[in-house]
Amino acid sequence: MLNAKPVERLREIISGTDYRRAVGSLPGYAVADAGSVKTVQKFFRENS
Amino acid sequence: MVRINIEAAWHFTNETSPHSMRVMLSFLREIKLSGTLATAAEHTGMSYRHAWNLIDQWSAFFGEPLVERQRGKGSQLTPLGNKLVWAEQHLKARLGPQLHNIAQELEMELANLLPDVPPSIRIHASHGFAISKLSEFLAQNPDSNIDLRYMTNQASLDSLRAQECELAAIHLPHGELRKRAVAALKKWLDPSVYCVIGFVTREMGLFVRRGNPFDITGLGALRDPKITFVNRDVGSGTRALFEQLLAQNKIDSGEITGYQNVELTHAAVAAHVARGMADTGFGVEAAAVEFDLDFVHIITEDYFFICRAIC
Repeated sequence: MLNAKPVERLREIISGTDYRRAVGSLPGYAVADAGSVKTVQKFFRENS
Repeated sequence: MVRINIEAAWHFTNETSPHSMRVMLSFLREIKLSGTLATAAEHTGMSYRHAWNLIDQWSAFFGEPLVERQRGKGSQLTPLGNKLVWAEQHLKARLGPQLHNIAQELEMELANLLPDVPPSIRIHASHGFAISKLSEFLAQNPDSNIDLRYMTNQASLDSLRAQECELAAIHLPHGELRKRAVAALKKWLDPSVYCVIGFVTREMGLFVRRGNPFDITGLGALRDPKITFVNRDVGSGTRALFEQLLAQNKIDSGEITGYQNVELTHAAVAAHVARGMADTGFGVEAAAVEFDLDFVHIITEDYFFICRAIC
């Protein structure tokens, strides 16, 4: 599913300049690693 | 893709005839934003003369003026005009996610009957400003066919496990509460089935009226019986986070005045406080700013997508 076209498009949008600018203008929001992918193992390791 | 947008329409009636309030509300909102009648008329596509006629007509309907014109200072809303604008914003904040879900349901039903519709994916996520912005971006993209439904953190994880969506969104707090949230998540996420897509970070805190009249600096202030609170709905991720914060700060929910009063979105909580129906509520900073409130920061959260995938 990660490689499905709609998911790829979604990742392109959230990591793109326009979306980052739009969300960056919302007070209290930041988009540091929007669109980046991690395995669940790595995610758990980093957050445990 | 055929896109559907559903909005609530206001109909005011009096003894003589029904009147639709919708045009007037958007116009009043523009006056509030711009402070001049000419700019508001231009933004809503009305002539200046028609704009004044409309104001006169509705002021006569209510028997009270909606707009005050001050020589050299432009135009401003009266308390009645302001109340109508706040009421509309509150309604939108309350119903927005539900109307969005109904529109998405209809879009998908129509898509099944139309030719050449691209394949879709289903995203289940809790409502917020960044996800709402994403929905706007997706709607501008004719190639994307994404069925985005708003629901609670837990409901979106349930959907993911039941294969009722391909992506679910979750939010996790920074700090001490993070480890506990991740431990709970381990029961739900099989590492061989899912991966994590980074999304946004958001600041969460207490909404207070301009100038912070009760001098609220943290959650401890909620013990004061004079301070009234408006909560989020049971099952929402924000309510769950708030309950964890209370436990962490050893605050009993029974001590909080208004704890049982709930709104369904961050913006609705902010609108509730802005209308003076409560003194404070908990949610994202963007909602506080939208409703011209001050914000007392409490915690930072990360918002992720969980995707069914082999990474």
